Amino acid sequence: MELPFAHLNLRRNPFGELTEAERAALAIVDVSQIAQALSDPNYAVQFVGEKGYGKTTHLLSLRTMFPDAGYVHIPEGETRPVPGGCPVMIDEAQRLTWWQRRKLFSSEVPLVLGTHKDYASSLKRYGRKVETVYVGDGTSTDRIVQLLNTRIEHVRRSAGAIPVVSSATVERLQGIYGGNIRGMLYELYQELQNLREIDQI
Amino acid sequence: MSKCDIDIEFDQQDRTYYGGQSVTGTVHIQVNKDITCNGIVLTSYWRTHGYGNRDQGDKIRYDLVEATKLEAGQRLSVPFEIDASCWPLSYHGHHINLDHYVHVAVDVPWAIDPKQEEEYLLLPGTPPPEFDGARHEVIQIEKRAPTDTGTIAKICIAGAMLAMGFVLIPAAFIFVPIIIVFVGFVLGWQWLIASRVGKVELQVPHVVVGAGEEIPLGIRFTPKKTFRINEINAKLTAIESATSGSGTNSTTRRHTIHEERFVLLDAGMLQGGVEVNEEVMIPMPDSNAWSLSESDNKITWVLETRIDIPLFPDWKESTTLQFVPRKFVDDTIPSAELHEEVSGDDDYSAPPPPPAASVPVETAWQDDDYSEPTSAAYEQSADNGPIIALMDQILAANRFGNARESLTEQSAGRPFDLAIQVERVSRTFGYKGSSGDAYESGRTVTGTIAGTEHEVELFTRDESNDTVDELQSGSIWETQARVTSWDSLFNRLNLEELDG
Repeated sequence: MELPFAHLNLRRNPFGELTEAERAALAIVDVSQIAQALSDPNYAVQFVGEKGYGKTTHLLSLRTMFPDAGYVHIPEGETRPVPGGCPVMIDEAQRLTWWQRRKLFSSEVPLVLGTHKDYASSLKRYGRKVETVYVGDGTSTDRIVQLLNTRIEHVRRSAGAIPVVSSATVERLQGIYGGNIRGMLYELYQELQNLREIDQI
Repeated sequence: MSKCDIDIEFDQQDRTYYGGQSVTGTVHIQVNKDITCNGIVLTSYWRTHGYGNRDQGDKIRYDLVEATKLEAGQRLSVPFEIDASCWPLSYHGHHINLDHYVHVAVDVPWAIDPKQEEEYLLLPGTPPPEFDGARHEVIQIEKRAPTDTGTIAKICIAGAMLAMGFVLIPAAFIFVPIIIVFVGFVLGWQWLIASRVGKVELQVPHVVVGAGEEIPLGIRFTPKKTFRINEINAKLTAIESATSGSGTNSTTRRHTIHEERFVLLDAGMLQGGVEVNEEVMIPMPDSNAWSLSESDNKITWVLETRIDIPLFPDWKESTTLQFVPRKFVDDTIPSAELHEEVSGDDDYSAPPPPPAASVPVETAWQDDDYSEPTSAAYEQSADNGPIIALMDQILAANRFGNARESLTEQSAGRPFDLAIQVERVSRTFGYKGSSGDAYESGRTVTGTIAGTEHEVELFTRDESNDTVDELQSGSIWETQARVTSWDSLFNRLNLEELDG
């Protein structure tokens, strides 16, 4: 028995599941402007998109910039209390109850929402300044190549060569999965499992 | 540049260790900046990686260095020694990997701690203490910290459930008829199958199984009607199942590691009223995909037995196996089986070794606290000699012919004194007995003939229930019994308690 993925100079499959901390650390999203805007208590930003497009990654990335942020992920079929903190970040905000939504939208703290449903008009009714980011729309090939190769670099075992994901592969995957990063990751997970020597993927 | 560089070096170059061994090595720390640290801490743990969410074992902490000042340019080499756990073992599969880690961190106040983590391989070594020779049920070895639910929380939960019950009363009017229909359908389906095959007795005596060994599987039933079957088969499968994400974002992917089918009986007609009794030895593969049951990462071994009936619902039953290293079951193998393995069946000629020499089974009962009488300490009045002689004779006969059954038949009905060392007592189910229904509501005592490792199953009479129910594992009970049959699957003698 050998150490895992030692033949590829890696410690594990880079396209497997990451911890929340790793996801935030490895996220390649530009949220600096949004971070600045969050100093306004009336500001609300919502990341809208389908499953696997990167809503949670955006939220986790922003969370690392705000040590006082209140963050909650609401699992399916469950309710969660709205956390305190500033700003308040709600992942899967479409699962808030009507009463929670009303109270939260009318509060005076900046909001960050990850949601399948667009709440722009509802937020505006409460006098919020709203920004909507449709995740997945602006994901370029170069950014995805960077994202994938950063993941590989993160699990490097020692100095020397490691596998690399090429632009051609990402273009092919975009043709199949569009902006669904999670779909791409699973395909690459399988490919790396079968990779016998250090090579371009 | 980081405050210090940490390098973990294992004494074993290939980083391969065995369960229960000491993992030794040295932590080298190159200090790059002056720091005051609260200590250098080593932790060891196991963790999964792969497609699924991470599952992780308890962290065991070792303080390598107390609080100290470290100066730039200083180089420290600190040896370490930790005890490798016995379970779970390293595994590298498709969706699931499991590794053991040593993690070292320099605790720097008010700053990000410099840290380093290295994995090592843990191979089968000492079996976990939970393995005591019992193989008839899955052994819980992946322990979790107990959940401490406070009294107030318990009251809140009870209150919420009560409130929910009141709310759900109106809903019951809608759901109860649906549930009744569903249950009716399931029962009807089972009745339909039972109307053909009757009551099927599936025997999988070993659910804790070792890599590379053969395990017995038996099926016994008496069809109620004459019907055709495509075959009776057993399918052995091993599946990795890993869950990634949570809620609507969760996805579970499965990967088949092993799949193999065994035929117990080929296509043909089964005659109504004629007993079908088939046995097969299932060879377990030489794999290292040990059973794993964590919240998001599971490796499951299942043996599904099926009576395949054309144009009719099939009878089937699944048995979950616990797949472990061969060493775990060999070290704790019950002596009756050990006896067979050592002597070999075909060329078995010598009588079984005296009890003192065939000790291994007793391991579970050798605790200092244990006070039940053992066979060695017990002075019995029953004369076990004749029944031991019969068992010796049966075991000496060839296993694969009818010799054992013939020998048993020759002694059928003959009364014997019996002192049985009890392993377990269970309710007798569906056993009529050879004389009326005296055993139908009785008990089944499984154990060994006292002072030997010869396994027997004794059906006791209804009127002995009060006495038998008092028997505990390890105790010895004396009675008179007659031989009824030889159970070739379990290699044991079946007996009936005599009247009076």
